[in-house]
Amino acid sequence: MNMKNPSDPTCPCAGRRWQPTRIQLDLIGCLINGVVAALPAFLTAFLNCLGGGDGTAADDKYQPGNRDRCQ
Amino acid sequence: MPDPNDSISALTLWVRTTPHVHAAWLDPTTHPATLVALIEPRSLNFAEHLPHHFLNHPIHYIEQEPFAILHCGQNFPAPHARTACHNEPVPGGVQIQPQGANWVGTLGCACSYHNAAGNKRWGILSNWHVLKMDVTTPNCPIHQPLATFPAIAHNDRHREVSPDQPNTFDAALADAKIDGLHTVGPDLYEIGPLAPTPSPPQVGLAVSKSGRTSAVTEGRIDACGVTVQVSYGSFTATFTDQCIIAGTAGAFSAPGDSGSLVVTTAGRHPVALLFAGNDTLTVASPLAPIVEAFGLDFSFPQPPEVFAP
Repeated sequence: MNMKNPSDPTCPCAGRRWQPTRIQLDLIGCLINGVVAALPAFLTAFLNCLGGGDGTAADDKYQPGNRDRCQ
Repeated sequence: MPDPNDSISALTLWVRTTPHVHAAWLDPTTHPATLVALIEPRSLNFAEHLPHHFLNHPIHYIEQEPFAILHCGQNFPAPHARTACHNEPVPGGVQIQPQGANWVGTLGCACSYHNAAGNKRWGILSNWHVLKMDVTTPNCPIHQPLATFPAIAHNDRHREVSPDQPNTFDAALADAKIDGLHTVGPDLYEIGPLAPTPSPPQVGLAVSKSGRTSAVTEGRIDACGVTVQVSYGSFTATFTDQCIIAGTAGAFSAPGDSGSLVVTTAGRHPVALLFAGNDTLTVASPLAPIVEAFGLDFSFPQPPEVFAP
């Protein structure tokens, strides 16, 4: 196979910037949409952490506290 | 014989469209079954304009003030013990307040439930309009007795009350695990530990509740299967298949008692969730649809594993 180095001025791709194809654009769009969609769940989990709860995990064992919360 | 579902829909429509009527139910003890309709006071002066039959059932009208939800402002009078701060494990029947709210209500009881992911959690049961209505913060902290005290839970699950569609309950759950420990316990204040198995409501059943404002009261279920309209201030909601409770010595409930758990007087079995009323009658939702919607379980480990510091 006749391979040329892109830095070689005789190479057809020399000096050209990468242009995303339609498929690549779609993939990037999916990625951005996925991040945006996951943001609320992430924020909720983050707020749960701030509030001291652990949110969505199973909590099978009842462990009553005996803390003095009225000081 | 009409399809029962059709008659429920027809009854809901009838209650929503008949002027001055705000609740109705079929009384099966008469033959043919009588439709009992609660109508606003002084409306019977115009009785000639009122229908005499619903489907083939004769109608018996009773004048009664309309129903409204029973939360209240934090300064509404109540016994000191109900509005005081309680140490862990916090019992049911005491005052709670969501962060940022200008109202208070009652912590119904502790129970386990399923969160949105289907996992078991331990939390508190109360009303949607106590824990969630008008609260925009996700997982809003719920405080006892007021927002100036430490939180005992964070809002987790609810079903919004619809102003347009018939509702079956006004309930919400808040996750009561704070820093690895559960803040609440199985007791109802001044009643005792809750029995784990719910009892279906029945007409004539003797019931009790432990609430923020009127404390422990006893009553009797007067009617089941009631279609009722309840004022939420900014809108009116219709509920189907509700219970009406009358107090045996004065009113069964008062503003601030919203969220109280109604239990059998004998045995303390959970029966219904109190959420509305007027000066004389109380409206409560049977627990079965709430149990089904949120996977509620009222049983606690016996004996409870007490945390060793």
